[in-house]
Amino acid sequence: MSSKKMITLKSSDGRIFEVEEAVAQESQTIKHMIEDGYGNSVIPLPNVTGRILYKIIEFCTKHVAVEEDIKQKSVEPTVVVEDVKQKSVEPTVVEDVKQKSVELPVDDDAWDAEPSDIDEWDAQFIDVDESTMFELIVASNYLNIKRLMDLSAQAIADMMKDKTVEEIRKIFNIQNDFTPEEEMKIRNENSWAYE
Amino acid sequence: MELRSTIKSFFFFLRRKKVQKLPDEILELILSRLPVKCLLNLRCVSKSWLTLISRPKFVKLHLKQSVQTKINLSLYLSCINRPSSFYRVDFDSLEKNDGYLQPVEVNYNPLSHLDNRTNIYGSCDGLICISNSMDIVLLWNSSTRRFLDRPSSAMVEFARNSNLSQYISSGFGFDNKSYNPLRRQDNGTGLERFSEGLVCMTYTLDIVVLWNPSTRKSIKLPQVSVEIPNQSYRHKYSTYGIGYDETNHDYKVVRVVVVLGDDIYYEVHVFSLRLNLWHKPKKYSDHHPDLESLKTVIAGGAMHWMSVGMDNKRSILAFDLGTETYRVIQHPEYRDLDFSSSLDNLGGCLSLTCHYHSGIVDVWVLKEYGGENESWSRLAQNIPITYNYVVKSVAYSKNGKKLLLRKHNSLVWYDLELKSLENIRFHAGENNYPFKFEVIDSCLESLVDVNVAEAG
Repeated sequence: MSSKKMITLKSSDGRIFEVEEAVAQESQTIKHMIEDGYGNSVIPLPNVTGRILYKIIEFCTKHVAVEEDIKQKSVEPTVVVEDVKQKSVEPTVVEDVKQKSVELPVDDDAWDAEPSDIDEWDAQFIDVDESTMFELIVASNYLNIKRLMDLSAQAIADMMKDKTVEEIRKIFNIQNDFTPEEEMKIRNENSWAYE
Repeated sequence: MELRSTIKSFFFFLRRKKVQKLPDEILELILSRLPVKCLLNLRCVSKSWLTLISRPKFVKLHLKQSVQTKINLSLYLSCINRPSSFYRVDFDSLEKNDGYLQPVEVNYNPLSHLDNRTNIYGSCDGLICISNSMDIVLLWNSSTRRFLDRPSSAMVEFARNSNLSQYISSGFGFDNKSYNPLRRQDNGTGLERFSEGLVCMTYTLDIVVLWNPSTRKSIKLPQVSVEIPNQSYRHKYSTYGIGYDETNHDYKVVRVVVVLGDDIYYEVHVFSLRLNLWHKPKKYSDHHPDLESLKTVIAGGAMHWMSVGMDNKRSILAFDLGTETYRVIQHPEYRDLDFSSSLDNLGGCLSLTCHYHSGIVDVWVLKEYGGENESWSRLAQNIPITYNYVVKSVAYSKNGKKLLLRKHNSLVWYDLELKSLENIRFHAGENNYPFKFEVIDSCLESLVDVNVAEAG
């Protein structure tokens, strides 16, 4: 197979992922770590859970492939536990033998999707619940993956557009620290915007 | 009642998975992608959100996003039949251009109550500079050498109905203490004398406003006076331009006033939004603004206008907003000298639209502004437009492949790749008159505050 350099990443919950260097370098944070000489050992990512890291690797793999103009039928990080699904050029997720079995994404249809347009693929990728969107934006910010940051920021913004102030507070888990008078005063400054 | 709603909220929370609190920098990333109306709503979510949305750092970030994505980019236009009103068309509809467009009236225009035409003098970072005029009548008491504050309605009526207007210049401000209109008489005509040494004059006063149509806030600029030297005058022309001064983190309005009398006299004034003050910079010696195309255009941190020298040759003058110094910009290579031109701002760059008598239009764009390799590059050439129309470039399409041109009172797209013209049709206005506009400008959305009193 290919003799591409592999980088080993470890999520906050101890899951190990092995990815191609090109894919790992989609993250500027990891790229700098590699440049600083940490590429030969396991790179710990204590701020990213395994579930989210899995999705992020999926995103980066897809985009690297698109850039390299390699046609892939699907982007499926293979899970090496006992059964190994091998495809031609794919990232491998090496399961730590001591761990329990890997949780695959709930929506299996995602793997069979074949959008011809990368934007369509991105749209399907980010079509997840709010909590996951938030986790993705925090993780992609920490890992410094601009494309994913932009994608998730836009998705959250789009989700926010038609929500009321109260709904926004609930979604973002924010306490209203205005008194009713204070809030009324602010609303009156731009009363037309609340129509 | 309270217990019930508490239980309800509790279950709501249970159902919804709790999300982590997002740090400010990520919140900014998200919020900067929202339209202004949405953001104004979100100001009352919490105190920290109010602070975040209001602070200059976020306003700049949101503006940057607005410039990049061109979301909510709109065209503001006036209609010939309703001179003080504004209408708005968003760029998406403009570019789609399928069928007849329906501009929407902007009913929060701060100058719509005035009678005369509201002019648009350019936009910068979501702020539009607009002006209208107000006719006022003044009575000057030559013995006390003071203006009368309140002329009686009879006097006002008289002034309006007399033929004073042909002698009275339009729109210069006045300074109560030192202004003496009697100096401006040429030979005693033009000013009507009442009894008791009262002199009646009508003025058309410029009302200039900086307006952010997205936040719907506006500020009226203070009056500024023109010191006309001792000579007769007949007409006054003024134009304004708005731009951002990077050096001083300030929005500036430049006003160029030309007074025609026996001689051509002009003044330049600069308004600073931060200081809320006008001041007078130096003028470019031996030059005066070209009356044929009196207009200022911002690009590269400088205001530009066509200027005429002693030798009657026209130059493109650039007035740097930061240093307040002038420089002359070289002309592009014109085909011949039989043309009229318009200076415009295309995508932040200075552009020159040349309309030749032969019926073709060239559009030039100035590249590498201020650098060693500053040069004109021809964006489009040989656009076939007959000479009876005044042609100006308005804006690029969102993808940059088309150019929006103004052809007198109508708009047309010029496809830069296909080199073809495409008319833009508007729905008939009121009373089924075709919608013809007078003035026009594109403007993006921003949170920029017109009451900025601090560094941006």
